[in-house]
Amino acid sequence: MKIAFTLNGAAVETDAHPGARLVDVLRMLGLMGTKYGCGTGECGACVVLVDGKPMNSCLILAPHIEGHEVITIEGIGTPLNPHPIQEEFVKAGAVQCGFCTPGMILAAYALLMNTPDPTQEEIVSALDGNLCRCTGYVKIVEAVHAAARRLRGDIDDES
Amino acid sequence: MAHLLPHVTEFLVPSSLDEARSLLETLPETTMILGGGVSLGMIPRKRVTHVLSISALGLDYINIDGDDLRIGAATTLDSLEDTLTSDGRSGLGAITESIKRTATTPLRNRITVGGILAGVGPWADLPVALLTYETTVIIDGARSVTLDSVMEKGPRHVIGNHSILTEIRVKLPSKAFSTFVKVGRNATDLAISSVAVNNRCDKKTIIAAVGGIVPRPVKLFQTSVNDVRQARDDGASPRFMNHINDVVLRRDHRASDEYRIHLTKRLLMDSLEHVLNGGKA
Amino acid sequence: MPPHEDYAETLMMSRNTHIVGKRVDKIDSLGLATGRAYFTDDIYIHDMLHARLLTSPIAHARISHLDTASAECVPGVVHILTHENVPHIPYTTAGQGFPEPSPYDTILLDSKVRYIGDIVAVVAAETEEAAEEGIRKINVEYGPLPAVFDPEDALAPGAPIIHDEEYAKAVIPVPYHPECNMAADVYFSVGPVEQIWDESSLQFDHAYSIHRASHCAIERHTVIAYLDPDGRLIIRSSTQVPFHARRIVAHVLEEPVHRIRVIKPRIGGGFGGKQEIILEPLAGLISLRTERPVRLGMTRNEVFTTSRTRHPQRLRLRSVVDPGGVVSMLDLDTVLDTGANGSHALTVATNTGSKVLPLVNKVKAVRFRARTAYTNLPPSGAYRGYGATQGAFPLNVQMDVMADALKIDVLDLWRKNRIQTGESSPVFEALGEGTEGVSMEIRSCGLDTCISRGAEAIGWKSKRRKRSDDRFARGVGMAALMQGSSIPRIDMAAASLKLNDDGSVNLLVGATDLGTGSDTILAQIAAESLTIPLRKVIVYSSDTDITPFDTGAYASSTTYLSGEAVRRASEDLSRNLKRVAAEMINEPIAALRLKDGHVAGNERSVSFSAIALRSLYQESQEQLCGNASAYSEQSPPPFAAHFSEVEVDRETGVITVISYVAAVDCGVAINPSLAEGQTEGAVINGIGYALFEEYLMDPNGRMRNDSFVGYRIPSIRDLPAMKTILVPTYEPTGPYGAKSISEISINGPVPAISNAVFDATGVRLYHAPFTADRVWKALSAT
Repeated sequence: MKIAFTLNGAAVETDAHPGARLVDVLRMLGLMGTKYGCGTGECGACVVLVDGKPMNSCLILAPHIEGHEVITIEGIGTPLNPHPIQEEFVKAGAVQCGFCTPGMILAAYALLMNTPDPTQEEIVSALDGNLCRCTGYVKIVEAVHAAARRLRGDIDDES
Repeated sequence: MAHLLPHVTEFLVPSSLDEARSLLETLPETTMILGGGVSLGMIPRKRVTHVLSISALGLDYINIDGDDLRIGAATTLDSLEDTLTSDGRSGLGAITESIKRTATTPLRNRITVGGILAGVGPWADLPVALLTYETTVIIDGARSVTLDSVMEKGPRHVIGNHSILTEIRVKLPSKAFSTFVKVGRNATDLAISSVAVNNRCDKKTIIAAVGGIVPRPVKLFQTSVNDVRQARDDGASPRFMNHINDVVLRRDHRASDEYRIHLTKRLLMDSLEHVLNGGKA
Repeated sequence: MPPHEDYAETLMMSRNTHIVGKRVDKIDSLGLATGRAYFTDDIYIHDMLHARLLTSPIAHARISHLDTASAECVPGVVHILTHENVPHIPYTTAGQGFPEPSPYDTILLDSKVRYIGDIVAVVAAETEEAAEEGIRKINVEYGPLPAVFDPEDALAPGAPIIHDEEYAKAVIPVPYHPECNMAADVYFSVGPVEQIWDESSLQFDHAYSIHRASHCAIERHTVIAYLDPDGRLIIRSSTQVPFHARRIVAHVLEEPVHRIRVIKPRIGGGFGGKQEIILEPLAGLISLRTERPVRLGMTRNEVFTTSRTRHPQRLRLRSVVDPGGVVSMLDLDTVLDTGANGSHALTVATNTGSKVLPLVNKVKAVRFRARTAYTNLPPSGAYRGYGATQGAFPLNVQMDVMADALKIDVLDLWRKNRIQTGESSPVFEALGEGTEGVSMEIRSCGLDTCISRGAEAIGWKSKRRKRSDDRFARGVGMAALMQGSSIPRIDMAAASLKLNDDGSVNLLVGATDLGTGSDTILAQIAAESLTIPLRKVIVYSSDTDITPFDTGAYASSTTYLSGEAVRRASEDLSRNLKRVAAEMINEPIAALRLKDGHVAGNERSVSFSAIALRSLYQESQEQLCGNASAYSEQSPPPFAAHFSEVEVDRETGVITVISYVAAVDCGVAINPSLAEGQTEGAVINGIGYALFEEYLMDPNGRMRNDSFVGYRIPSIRDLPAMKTILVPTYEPTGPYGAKSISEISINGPVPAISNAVFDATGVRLYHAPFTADRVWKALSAT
């Protein structure tokens, strides 16, 4: 069936099986940044923003996205024009294998758009649905703090 | 990966309850009523041929009407949490805490209140808290049943195959302290045991409910505050704690029966202590 | 507390390096952070087939009937593999050097199944849904056989024989007795073990057990196989071992090596779980037969059961300490459960002793016995730590027990007994990896500093032995650890460099970056050696057609061995640069040195770019290159001391890790940020392993909790306050003084937490995982 929605700011219409997963619809549209880790909504590798909120796209049926706004990692920034959050993840050493990274960055992005000065608990809560097996989360937390400071325009002693 | 529902041929989005109900009369029994769809992650439903979404039925609302809190079935947990937190009234601690402890952020952005109740199982946290309040469930916008009866008899049985759970109604207490605690293997695990306790200061009663160790959340007991205070002061094991021994434990391979009963008793005692102190540690 | 310390000392120790020792950004991070980098599954070939596995529902059975007729009729099904139509060449799935120390006990598809999850058939179809439908329509009848689920039962006389096939054999001369379900048997003894035991009054004898676990890399195992225009088989795989994959696919499919190419794209984590050749030959065979590209991947459930797990072990440690505090005897006996397949059966067993026992090297006698048994359970294999994780548990708990008996601080007991620079252990020589071991003298060891700085950071003095009767009891515990750096005389790494017009270089390495950052580390080493900026080193890795050989990412070998190959290749290029520069500036080669991307003499200097332009286009034209290989006579251990502070709720048995300090000596850290990242990731994985990761098996051998819902791995909510301390030493045999780092820290949490729980409550936890139920029962028993 035909499905019309907004994808990274652009109107999109595509054909999808009514029982298809949103993550597969996105990947078939050529956006490979959204990953598939478990299929049960636990790992968060498939997280995208729907109307600004992080959701597991492996559990969203394609027709359910009709009329909504989806943002994937490709909509946040590019290698030549990365978003500050992406740059802070890189600088903090928060990217190892990178498989969890798109979902993790989108969760952080959604948090910082709503809560520019998050507490430790708010960061932990916002990212609790994104599993990472490589980093142990330590540098991810540092990256989100650094990104928050940078987006607020805080002046720091250290970069 | 393969389709979530490979045999689905129709995805229906009715825009009125009447339309939804008449569709349900004619659709096959392989029809799934879709809230947030999160349960598909735990219970694969490959046989589903038709999906009926509640997203356009206008059930995404939270209204406070006097002392009636009315929550539309399509309300997501995160929006319920936001509303209750910004509303700021006290006495709903167990409800907000049970939402905070449910699953994870991306899942809470999709899990609907109707979905939790209609598809309730031992993993459900919110109903444990709701059982300690006077909570009713509205079906098809008209029929009202108590949450207790939904949990006791099972949602399928109470709601029926051609009806839709449309609203949850909670009578707001004038004064209460309530708490919700949950223990799993790690911080985001499904509950091994969860306990809600509500000190209804306005009625001088304490109500307790349990989840995790039972197939569906159950109310454990309702007793007077004085009973609880007395038992605490006596230091003896109170009669009302025996209700735990009466529950039918579900099988859970993560922990032994003996431990789960002990854990539940401990969580109950901790919670009772907490609410007796007016919610202070 | 801030999570990591200043690394200023390393800069001094690394002798004024310009890029080694610096916290540079990983060179691939931006591509990953923008979602542009390609993992195996991120390419889509338009006529690709989708393949799925049919796995066994029964733990032990012969396939009495297998009928694919209905499956073949499913629209879209194109090809089906069963035991009836595949080659039956025995091999091991273990990604190890040839000849492998693991037994050849596997054929591609067998007429017998040996565990629930065993691969029975593969269906390739136009769509994934058609493949799933095809799987459902395959008709299999099983003749059940008695099954055995306990390794000691499996070794006992009368147990059902799991590998009764004629073809099962060991290809190196090691004990292998499948007729008794014995996949490996390792024994070594030095000194009068029993005599010392008998003569001592301070005897310690304890039994421990440690459990099965899954790597849970977020990316599942995936392979895409296709034929290039010349009909060569190209395999794109999420693998840690591309060269072993090429060799083994060639062997199993009876194709020549030169007709196969294996490419590793980005990998979403490995941890040892992808040091195994499982899907590649199956996908390759389908591609050869259908002449179409095929994608074969495991579902998450299949990754739990059908890939590999950590070897569960039952260990018994006897030890003797003299009243002066010197441990004079260690006797470690262990039984491993290798599941239904013997991959890594021998080597994980050996490492349980070889990467643990040398730590306590003042002993007068030491003995090690390991027996690895087949069972009808999901196969065990390589998992970060690789036996050292299992062995570190009894050693560290028993040191704590002995210190307690002597009424001394366990830190002092360690200081009296630990191996240090200039010392050796008879264990090194005795325990190899299927071959003889290699005797080794420790050339760098920062363990003492790890212990003292870690103790200070956790607050040891103020928190230790402050046991109370409070419901919420707190305590601290520690563990001393070692690992290795590559497999001596077996592992080999190679590197090639070529010089470009602008003085940049292409660095081609076989070494496999799993996300560990090895591409970056190797680029840093090249940049350092060649005195050029990091961005002028273009890395391409892990492509068997283009990059030189590397055994792969395991045994903590990449920094130490592949790094050394890169350093030597850089020196080789450097010699060539100087040779040409000498002609250009007319100075003797002996006077020349590299500086800032130039070759400088006493009077003149010339840039690499000028040298390149001349060599490529103008005069005595040649492509300037550098090539080198490295293998090692040594496996210098990294060392670590881990400290854990826990709070135990006596009423519920719940353990909360409040804070954790990992002090690690990896020699010189080529990139401190990456070294910390490896440490932090390993520690959190270890904490999950210690507290809640667990395979819940039913009585028929089925895993009940084969999903992330049922099998919990740490989320960000489980993160304690974490501090990593890199303790610099200088390893003379390592590139720029480096050793390895990637495995060691996963070994700390199980023993450190057990010791902390004892400190808090007086109760010893000898059996992992330390779930609340088990802890509560242990507390109630006292």
